[in-house]
Amino acid sequence: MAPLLSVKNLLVEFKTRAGIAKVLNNVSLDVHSGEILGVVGESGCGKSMTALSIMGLVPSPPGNVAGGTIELNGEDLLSASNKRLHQMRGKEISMIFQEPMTSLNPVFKVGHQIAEAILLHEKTTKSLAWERSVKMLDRVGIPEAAIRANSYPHEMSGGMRQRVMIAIALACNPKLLIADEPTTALDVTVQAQIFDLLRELQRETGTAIIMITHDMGAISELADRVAVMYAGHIIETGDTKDILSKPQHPYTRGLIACVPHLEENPSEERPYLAEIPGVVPPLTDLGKGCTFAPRCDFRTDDCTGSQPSLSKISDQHSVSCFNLNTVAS
Amino acid sequence: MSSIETQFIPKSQHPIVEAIKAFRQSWAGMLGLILLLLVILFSVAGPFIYAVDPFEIIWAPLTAPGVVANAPFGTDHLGRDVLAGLVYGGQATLFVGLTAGFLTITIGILVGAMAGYYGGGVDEILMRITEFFQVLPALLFAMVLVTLFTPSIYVVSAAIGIVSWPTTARLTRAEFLRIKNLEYVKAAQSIGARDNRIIWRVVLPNSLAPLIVSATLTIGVAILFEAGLSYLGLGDPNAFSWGMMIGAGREYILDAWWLVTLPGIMIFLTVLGFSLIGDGLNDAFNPRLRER
Amino acid sequence: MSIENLLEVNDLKVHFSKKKMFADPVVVHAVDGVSFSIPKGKTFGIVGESGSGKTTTALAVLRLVGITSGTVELGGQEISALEGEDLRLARRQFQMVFQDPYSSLDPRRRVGDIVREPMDLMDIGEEDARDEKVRELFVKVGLRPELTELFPHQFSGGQRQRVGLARALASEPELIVCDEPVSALDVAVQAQILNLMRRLQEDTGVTFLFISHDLGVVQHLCDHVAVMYLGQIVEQADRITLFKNPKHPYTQALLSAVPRVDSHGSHTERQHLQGDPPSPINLPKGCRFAGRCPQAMAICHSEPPALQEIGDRHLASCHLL
Repeated sequence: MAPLLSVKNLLVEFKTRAGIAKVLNNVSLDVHSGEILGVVGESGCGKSMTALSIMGLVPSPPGNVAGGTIELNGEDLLSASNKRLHQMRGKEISMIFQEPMTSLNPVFKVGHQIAEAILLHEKTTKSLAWERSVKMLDRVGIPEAAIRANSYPHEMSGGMRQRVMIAIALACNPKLLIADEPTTALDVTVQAQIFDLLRELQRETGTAIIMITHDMGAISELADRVAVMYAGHIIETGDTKDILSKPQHPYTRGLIACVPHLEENPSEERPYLAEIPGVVPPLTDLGKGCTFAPRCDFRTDDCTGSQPSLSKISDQHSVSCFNLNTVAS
Repeated sequence: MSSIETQFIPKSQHPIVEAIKAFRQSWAGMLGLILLLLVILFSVAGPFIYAVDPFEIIWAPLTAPGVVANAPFGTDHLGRDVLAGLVYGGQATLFVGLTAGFLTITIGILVGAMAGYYGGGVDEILMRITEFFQVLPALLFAMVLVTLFTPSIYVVSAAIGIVSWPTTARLTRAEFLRIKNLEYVKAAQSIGARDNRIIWRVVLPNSLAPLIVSATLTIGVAILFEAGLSYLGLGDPNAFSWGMMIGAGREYILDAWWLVTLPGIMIFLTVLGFSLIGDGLNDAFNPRLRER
Repeated sequence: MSIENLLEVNDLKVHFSKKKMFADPVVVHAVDGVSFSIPKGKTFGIVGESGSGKTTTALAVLRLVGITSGTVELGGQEISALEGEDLRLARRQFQMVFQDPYSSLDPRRRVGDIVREPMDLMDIGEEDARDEKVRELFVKVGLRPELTELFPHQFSGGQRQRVGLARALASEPELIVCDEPVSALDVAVQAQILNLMRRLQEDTGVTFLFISHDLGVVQHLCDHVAVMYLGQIVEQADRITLFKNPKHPYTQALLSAVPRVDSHGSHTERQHLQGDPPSPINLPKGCRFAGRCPQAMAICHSEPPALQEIGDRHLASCHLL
């Protein structure tokens, strides 16, 4: 089956005072209809830039898409006209952001903001759009939707506002939803509610979701497949189960091991957390070797020569590392 | 084992040094600086090079520029040399601008800092006073002050300072309100810093950027204010200033264009210089612009 | 009080009132009767969601917000009663590490001066020895001593948090209060800082009061944990008991809401709390959690439950118990 979204060898560069920063390097990923792809990594790894590239929202200047292709349903997004991109945003691809406090317009009623999104893409009357926005609010789990549609954003809690954002994003039944750290600003109990909601909506509508996060726990909760990013590269990708239980890349292993995960049966023994030594290299000066090599315990001479390509180790699981055998043993 | 982070050591640069670097990259700021230096040079060195008494009557009144050699910029309604007036008038104008600007900034920062940092009752009282000064018709109030006392350039400077500080006070207060809630202010408190230290050594240095920008603009405004007062005949009669030249020449504006135009151009260039410097400083202090 | 406890907090209340011109003043019950104690050299964790009052509790212990009532005793000294110069000088005993490594360091001061400042302000140690002490502190927190000349913006988030720890350690305090010290950091850096904190505690015997919303981090770091909801502690126990055998329905719900890496696919079995925490302005009459509690009974809506001992140093406030 052809993928819904296909990103191939995407290169994005940023001009900075320190030189050209290679923000995305040869990023390739596929998203199929009805699946949730998790993109995980630390800040500056390029996960949000991947999302902005797909939306056609790379700030330019200083940003610049220097190569690669992005296709949605076979249509090339990088060469699409601005007019076409405007049509697609919100209608075919939607995005929700981390901060539900600032991504809603404070001076309009939330019902109005959803109706606006509908009117932008569909020929319908204002009253019909309003009715639909009430339905959307109901669908994202806001009680007394008909009354709540008349509320202003500041009258709602953070969780409610994120639900409204989801309602806006899904108002025109997009084929792809990009969620950029959608629960990072929310409390855990509210985060759990939003995860439930996203899962449920995804099952009902079949919308594909790209979920961008730094939290392996969120990946485990929601994603079918995962792409792990480091310094502008995808370094490992595969089924969530495989990645979480059998991570192959030294960075993925470190990322999972360094987080103090909540255990149901904590023991008296408390070993120190695993550390990934050093810091992320500056994107303006990545060198030619593997970007993770300076911090890697398994580094060999190969690693400093060139960036390893992402190669398959099973049907679904790909890793970019020269020393898979030594890492595994 | 505690891992010492191995990272290259960048050269340490004081934020002020960085701001100066950024200022030098701003064409507006540099142009303003050059303009202002020229004006200062003209006003400070000018009297030595062109040593003609601006009060002395040298030729027939209202002689146009270029007609006679010893009055290249013409003469005014009393037959005094206009070029001499321009050369000598700059000092008084700049003096009033700088003193009034300094006064404005000082009162404004003092009031704004106290109101913003302490909040509550102190804020209420100081802000009501600020509003009182803000709703006063500034020009009328300054005119009253100047007429009550003898109109010397000190009184004029003081009057301008007293009517223009509220804007600075409000700006300072807003900056203080923002910064006093940042964690490093709490940190200063928790390591035992007293209020005085927090206000002047922690919060103020961090709110200086917009204040410096506003200060340069304030100087420009003060110069215009002085021109306005002099135009109305309320300037210091013993100090020659560009504003006074415009005021004295206003009756002859239809017959002798140079009487108003030439000092007008000087004021324009000076205020433009300060404004452009303000622009440049704004660029220099704005880190978001600096990233480019 | 027992000798082994370094910090004793007793019935602490912090109420904020907002005056309104034409209406009754609104009172926010940010912290409403909190009591706990921390043994010397241990780490005490307070977890809760936003609005639970955990940060206000920390600030009140540090005397950075006004205390409405209750007492805070540190090493036998009632710091809640100190004022003026006495309070200022007592501050060397209790220091703070902040959440945001970007806004907690003065951007206009060199990091070495930032670390030296507490010693200057509270006159600690010989003046000539202070710069040397700063360099020692830098090494202690894993920073190269040459870095003292730099400004905060030249550091990464993790390095800044190390500077924050060095500043807190400069006055050799007995207690360091950490308000979400790692929540703004990337996970790899977070592990470095958490390990550093544990090593510092082993080296210096400092006591930590650790405020966090991240249950995984609290479970890893803290010896004793209190769960706060709307200004009150609803459950409190040692680390093993609290996470293995949580008794309060809110603690249970909180634990079940945390996404787990090891249980991929099992999320459907869990019951999640509905709704948001109510505001600390209009507090419910009965149990504060009753509105969201899946097991609420009639009594829960009318009468607040008392915090009672249900095991060895295990306290919970719930009518079910």
